[in-house]
Amino acid sequence: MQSALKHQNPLQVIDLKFEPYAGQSAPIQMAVSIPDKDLAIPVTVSPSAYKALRDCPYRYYVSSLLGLRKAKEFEEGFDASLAGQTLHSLLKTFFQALKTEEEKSYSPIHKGEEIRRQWMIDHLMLCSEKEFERLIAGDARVLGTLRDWQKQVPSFIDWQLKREKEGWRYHDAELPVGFTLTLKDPDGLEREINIAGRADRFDIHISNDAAAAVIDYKNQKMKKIKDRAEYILNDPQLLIYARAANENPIAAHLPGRRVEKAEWVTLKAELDKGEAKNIRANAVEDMPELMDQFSIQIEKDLNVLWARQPMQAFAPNSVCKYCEARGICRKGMW
Amino acid sequence: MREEFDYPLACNPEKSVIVSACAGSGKTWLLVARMIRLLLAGAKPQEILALTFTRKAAQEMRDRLYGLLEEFSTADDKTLTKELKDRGLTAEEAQKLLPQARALYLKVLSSPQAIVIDTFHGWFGRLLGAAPVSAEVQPGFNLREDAKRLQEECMEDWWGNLSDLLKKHYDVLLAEFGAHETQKFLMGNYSLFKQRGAWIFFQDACIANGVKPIDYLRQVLPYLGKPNPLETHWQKTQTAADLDIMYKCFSHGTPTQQAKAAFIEELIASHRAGKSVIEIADQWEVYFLTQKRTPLADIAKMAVPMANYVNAEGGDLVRITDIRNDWVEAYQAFFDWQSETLINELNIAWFAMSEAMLEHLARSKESMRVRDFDDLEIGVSQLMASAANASYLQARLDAKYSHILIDEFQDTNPLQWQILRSWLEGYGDDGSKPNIFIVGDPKQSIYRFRRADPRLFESAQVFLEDKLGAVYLPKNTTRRNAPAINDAVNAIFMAGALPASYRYSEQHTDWTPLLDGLPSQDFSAKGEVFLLPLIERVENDQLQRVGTAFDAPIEDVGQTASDQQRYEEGKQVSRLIHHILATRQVMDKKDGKEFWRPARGSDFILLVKRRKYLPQYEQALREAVLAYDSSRLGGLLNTLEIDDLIALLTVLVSPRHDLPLAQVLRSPIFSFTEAQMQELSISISQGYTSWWDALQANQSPLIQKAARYLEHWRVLGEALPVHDLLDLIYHESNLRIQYAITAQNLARAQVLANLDAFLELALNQDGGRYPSLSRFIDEINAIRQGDDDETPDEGDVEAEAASEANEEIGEVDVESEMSEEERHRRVRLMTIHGAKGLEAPFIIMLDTNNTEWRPPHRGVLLDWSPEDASPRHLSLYTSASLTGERSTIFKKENEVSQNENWNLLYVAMTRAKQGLWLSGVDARTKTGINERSWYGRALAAGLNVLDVALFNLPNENHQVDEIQQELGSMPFKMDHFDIVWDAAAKDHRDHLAKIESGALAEELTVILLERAKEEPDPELLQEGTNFHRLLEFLIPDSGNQAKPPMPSEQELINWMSIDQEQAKDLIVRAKTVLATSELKPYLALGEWVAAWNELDIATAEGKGYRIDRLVEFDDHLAILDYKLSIPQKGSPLHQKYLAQLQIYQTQLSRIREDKPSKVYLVSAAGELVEMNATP
Repeated sequence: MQSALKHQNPLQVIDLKFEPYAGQSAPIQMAVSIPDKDLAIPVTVSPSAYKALRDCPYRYYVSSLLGLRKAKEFEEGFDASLAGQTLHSLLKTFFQALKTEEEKSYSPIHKGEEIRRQWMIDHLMLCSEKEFERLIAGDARVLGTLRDWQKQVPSFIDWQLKREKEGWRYHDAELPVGFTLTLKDPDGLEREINIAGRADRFDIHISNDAAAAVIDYKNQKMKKIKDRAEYILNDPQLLIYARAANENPIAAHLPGRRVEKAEWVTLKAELDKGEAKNIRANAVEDMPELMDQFSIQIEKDLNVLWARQPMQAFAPNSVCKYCEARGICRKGMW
Repeated sequence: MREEFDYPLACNPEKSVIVSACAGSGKTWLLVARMIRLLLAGAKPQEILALTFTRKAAQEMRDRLYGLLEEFSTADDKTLTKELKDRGLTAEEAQKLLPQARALYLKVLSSPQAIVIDTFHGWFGRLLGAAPVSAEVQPGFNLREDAKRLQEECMEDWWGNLSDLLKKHYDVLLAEFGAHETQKFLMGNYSLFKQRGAWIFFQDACIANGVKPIDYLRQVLPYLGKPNPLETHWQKTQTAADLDIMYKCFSHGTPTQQAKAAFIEELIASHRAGKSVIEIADQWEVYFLTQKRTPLADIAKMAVPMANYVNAEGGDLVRITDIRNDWVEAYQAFFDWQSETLINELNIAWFAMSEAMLEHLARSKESMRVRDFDDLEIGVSQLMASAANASYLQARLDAKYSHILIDEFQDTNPLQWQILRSWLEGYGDDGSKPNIFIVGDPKQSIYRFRRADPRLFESAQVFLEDKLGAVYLPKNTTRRNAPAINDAVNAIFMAGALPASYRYSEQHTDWTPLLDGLPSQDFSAKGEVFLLPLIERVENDQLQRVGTAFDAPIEDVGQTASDQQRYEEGKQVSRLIHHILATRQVMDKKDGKEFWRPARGSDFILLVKRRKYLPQYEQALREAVLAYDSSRLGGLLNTLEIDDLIALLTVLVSPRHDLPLAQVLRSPIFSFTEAQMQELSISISQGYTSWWDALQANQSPLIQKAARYLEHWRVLGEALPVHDLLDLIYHESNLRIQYAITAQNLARAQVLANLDAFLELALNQDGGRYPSLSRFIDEINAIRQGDDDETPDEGDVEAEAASEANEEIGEVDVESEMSEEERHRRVRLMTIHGAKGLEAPFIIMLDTNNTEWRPPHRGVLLDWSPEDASPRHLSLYTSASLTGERSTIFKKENEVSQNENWNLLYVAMTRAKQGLWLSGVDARTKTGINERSWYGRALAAGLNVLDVALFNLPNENHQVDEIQQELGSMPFKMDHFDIVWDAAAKDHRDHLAKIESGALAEELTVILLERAKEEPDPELLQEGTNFHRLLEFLIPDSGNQAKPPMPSEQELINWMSIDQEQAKDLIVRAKTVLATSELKPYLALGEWVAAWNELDIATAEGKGYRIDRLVEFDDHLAILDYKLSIPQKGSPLHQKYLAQLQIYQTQLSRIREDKPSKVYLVSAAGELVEMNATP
């Protein structure tokens, strides 16, 4: 080392100065994107994608136009989403079993309301146990979710019985339905947009053979469902299913029927807070009126989207709370 | 009455003293004064033990002491005499001690043993380290500071295979509480995990008394096992007749009563038929009790028609009332009976679950070889349970402290006090007992969630007075608060609203304004205290959205009326701050000289009791162009800039994660435009499976540049430690400046400070060891998720604890990264807990109308009086199920917790030096005022409400255009280390150019290819390290002759973070070594004289070496070096090892001249090869 240095120029001593850095700032501004003409716009819109668009156009841009979504971890454990899936699935199993049972003339469910009620409770309990069994074996904490749900079962069955008394019968569950919108893009090309999703449940009416209803189960408290109802046009899942069934009754397994009723059903009713709070379902009011508004709205929204208009990240903070696009949109820096 | 504080007595080194000193009265000053007096009186530094609670406090104490001693060493006679007189010496004494006082600094510095100034936990660590072998304390444990995360890690697999018995217990709890609350009882706030100390001692007490924990509970459940009281009453012979009477009375009562008579008739029939009362209990209950289960009003005051009837019939009114009251009593007994039956069942289940879980926790920690703070505390307290151990430790540590000083004594918990007490009892009765000095303030005890108990203060006082003749001295004079503030504190605390057990005596202030330059206004001379008008509650009506989704934002459904109120409150407070900034002067001190200066941002602390509304306050401050620091949860790690860096690291580990990659590209690191993002996205459709592939293949220069940097860092990420990698990235991407340019002007300093803090955190994470990049990311994400779990409505206490835990992690002080000027600009927004120990000229307390104390509905009922060695009662409770003695315990505990709410108010108010404002929002009461809140108390005590017109002045408040300007482009300056040296700068530029052109990557590939040909040194790899660790763990030495058995695979996997394959290999290797007979003399017990594992030796120059194992025989010493394999003789590696061993040999011979030494390599194959220089 030393010999090497001898051959080099002797090292110079230089004062190191630390000066403050001076610059001109260029703070970034609210995220806005204008989709390039070559950027593909999806021709299928799910209810949740449409909700994203209504919530925040920029969020829709990131998730659907750029196609950036959070990668699902290999094993994320039992969470609210898996709990919801499990409940949906066991309810389908139960109602299909009920439908089969109805066909049997000797079945106890035809022997009076009290026996029918008991049969339904027992079977729903059993379906629940079965559906959860594997999950509980892996993580006994899940037993808590099952038991919470099982506490709901009698009151849920009472709601179902009340519905049956009004003439409604379970018809189908977890059914993919959709409808098509045709619009012209700025180049004058006709575009067919498919609005499609999976409806939780359809009921039919026994005495009115033109009537059908769509139901969406929500594993959340009534308060949240009420908020949903108030701003249904921003999250028109039920309206989408209703329109889909009405435009294509055969595909929805509802030939000759129209869906003119829609409701959310909570799987988390407040059982211990007195009768007044123990509400199971919330129906969409003014269905026909809302259906019209929704149809106009979605067409306008999609037209603007296909016109490749600016997509702004202007949503209020409460919408941004768990947004996956945060790192792209950079709200917080502007 | 104002009493002069007796400094001579308080500082008298001969006396034990307990000082209860109010806020701002100079507790630390006093403690340091006492230390100086001790030293002056001839105490040796090592005889002094000073304990406090946080490392920060310990450091501050040390700094103050040494600073003062240094001043003394150069002070002139007059100054020094005064200083000594202030500390309780007479003038003559001071005069005489001047030379000694000046010499103290040198004396302390030159003492081979230092004064022990430590935290409780630090001291406990020392005690455990010196524990006798018999005490079952194993060495070699790592201390983990993140207890909550550790608990989660340990319990992760517990739920996987729950036995049927435990599932049944679990079901009992679920039936009563539901999943969410049950989880709290098992893992969360109400769990025994939070009460481990109490639980261990409770268990010990149970064992000593030969009973089970549930038996203790049963002792206070008198109804348990008794027949149902309602049934008993029902079956009394008298009941039939009584029912008849009641039937008649009701039949002639009010119309309502008459309607109820029919049911009584049915009842009579049931009674006659011998049916049970249980079937009709609910229906019958409403005849006696209201819905809230209080007796019906018409029992005591009989309805007129019924009374008339009874009188007319010649009946006895009292008799009727008695009959009904008997039923009331029967029902109440019945409710208690039900409650007790239920609570018994719940506790059986809870105890069983908790015991199993705690055992599992202990086992997991054992196998991971880690401990947390609770373990430390419990370990020491168990160790000290016998005074013999205390004496042993005192002797062993050579630590018979003659003087013990404790600061902030109100923060002690029962275990800590017990340990101290045992330590004191370890002193003999030979007059060697130490002097104790305790200082604290029960009024500032706010750490109940960490089990601190202010009652210990009194208990300790009694103990010390009794055992050591200690003197109790109250100190009620503050130096901090201006008179107006002191008056307000007195007014509120002496208004008669305090709970009976709260001790408060009037406090006084020595604060005086500096007359030189004193502003003319009254508030400068006296200080000021005001309430701000409460913010009105407006139920907000959302404007309906118009147009398409693209035209206007969605309605803000998340913004509740309560949020809105806090936002408005924040705006009002922001205006106040601007007003104060424009009109007030602050008394400051620099270099010992006082002066008045204009107010600045950092003069304000905004205090909240709960973190819930911090976002709303922050928004208001931001909009008012006020810079602030906020202690919002999740702080550093959830900021966007740090999120970017975590995304970057994630991408370097798994490049095909599109979302984080996109974030990195959009971040100021690469500042991709929307057009560039779209270009990439479009190119994906040309057959790439991920953004990374599309990015690497892209040909546009700017995008390619980003691709090359990322690939360059990705390659480095495989080799460099996280911190070095980040450091390099910061440098190569010019990160700080990129962020500074794109940040908003108000946020810039914070962003830069966060970036610097993250770099520091990367250095400290995992105790400075070098975790792999993916492990580092996992850990950071785990910390982040921990924060998310804290839902806002849950106890803030939990959040507080979590945030403190996080502050411990990495111990990054973001603020310290800022320039002084920046720090002066910033208003601080924090919780009261966070502000403890701080003071500020201006304090604004937020949301004070929402501070009423409310009793908890459920939790752990714990009765542990300071005098008792173990809890008298420990059980799960729900407020609805409390009966008899348990209600009494509940009330007693609640009183302590209620007092703590007053303590919080006290701590908050006494932070203020010159100005104090209490602000809040309307409650949902008629007047809007909650009388039990702090705001309500202050109003009742006569504090004035400020006229807001005063500060709603436009010229003091920022206008819209000014705010706009703040958001736009501006010139700025920042501290930045840049290379001014031309050659280096050029070098750096060349380096970057090489990265950007891809030339560096090519060079690197060539180098790597060549390097791959060479044989790597296996000892440098993790495998080698693990092999060393395991051998050290298993092979006995003189210090530890009883070594544990071979760990299981699983234990090794946990301990060393390796996979199963590696664990298997490791076990085979260790077993081979241990089984080789040739090695036995060196490794097994028996033949050697002495042996040491991992022995550190140092050269004369101080360079340190570590010998794997040194074995001493009668005639020689053997140095052993463990290697996975032994290289070929003559190979470069062989020569390297030989050289290394020869250094060991040389250094050893310096300290052990008496015996010759030999050096050996020991391989994983069980070989033993002596290494000789001669071929």
